[in-house]
Amino acid sequence: MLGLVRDGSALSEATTVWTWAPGSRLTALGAGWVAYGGASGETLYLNDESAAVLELLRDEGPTRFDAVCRALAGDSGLDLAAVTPAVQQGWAPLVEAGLIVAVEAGNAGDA
Amino acid sequence: MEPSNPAPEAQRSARRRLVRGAFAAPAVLALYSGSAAAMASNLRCVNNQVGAGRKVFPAPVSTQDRFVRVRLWSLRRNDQVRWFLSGNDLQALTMNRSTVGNTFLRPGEWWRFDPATQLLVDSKLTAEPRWSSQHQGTLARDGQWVAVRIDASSQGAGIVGVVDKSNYTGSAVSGLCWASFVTAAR
Repeated sequence: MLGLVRDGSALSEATTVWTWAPGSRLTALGAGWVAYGGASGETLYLNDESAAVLELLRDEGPTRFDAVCRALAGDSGLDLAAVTPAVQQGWAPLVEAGLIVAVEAGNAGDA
Repeated sequence: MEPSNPAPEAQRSARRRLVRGAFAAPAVLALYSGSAAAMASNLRCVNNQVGAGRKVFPAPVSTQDRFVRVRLWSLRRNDQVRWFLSGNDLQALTMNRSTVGNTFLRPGEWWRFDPATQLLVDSKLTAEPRWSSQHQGTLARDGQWVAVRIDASSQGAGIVGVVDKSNYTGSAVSGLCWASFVTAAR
């Protein structure tokens, strides 16, 4: 279920984990990326940062938001404090596009 | 989870393509089909969907406003169904920045929505909706999509209404219609 957070926990809270939406697709196209949102049925064009978020969730499985930021900070060689606001800014569109979904921590293994 | 891409060598290339020392906000742009591009008006799709008698079209009141969509929850009992909007879903989309401005629907709150009239029904609920005092009903997140305006003024995003800011009315928006809609509204 898209974006379901039953307990109202927010993005930055430890209990919320995020995962690649089942049925999504991601492929490189020129300088960017094209993705199909498994939860929305839409086709979208992404920049490298969005694609990196999707790759991370796809390959690593359900992951907390702060862990995503840490991984991307490592990839880009920047401080976590610099990367987190940028990721946060682009997070809602990824959810809205049906590319990533929130799952409860207790169900993380089922995602 | 099973990866959906057939090419393993491409799986980590986006992360490798990140430029060292720079990181932009993740961006998502909708791609349009030929049929969508051929529409005379971006809002025509919404117009058709809403139907006659109720033409509620949102107009951003500032450049900071944007629209997100959330899915309606169904509450079913026997052959009957009622639809609800969940504050938890909105909270997930606003990334916890709605604490200051979100007076519309907070986490844990619910509001019944009537897709036929495009109106919110009754008052907000502060607990998970039940069919009646005797019957729980079955709750599922399987309904239409509803457009919600987010006002990004002040310290954070605040949800100020479903589509129409003044009276909390709105329209259900789905599929390609949404892609056209957000292009026109932003």
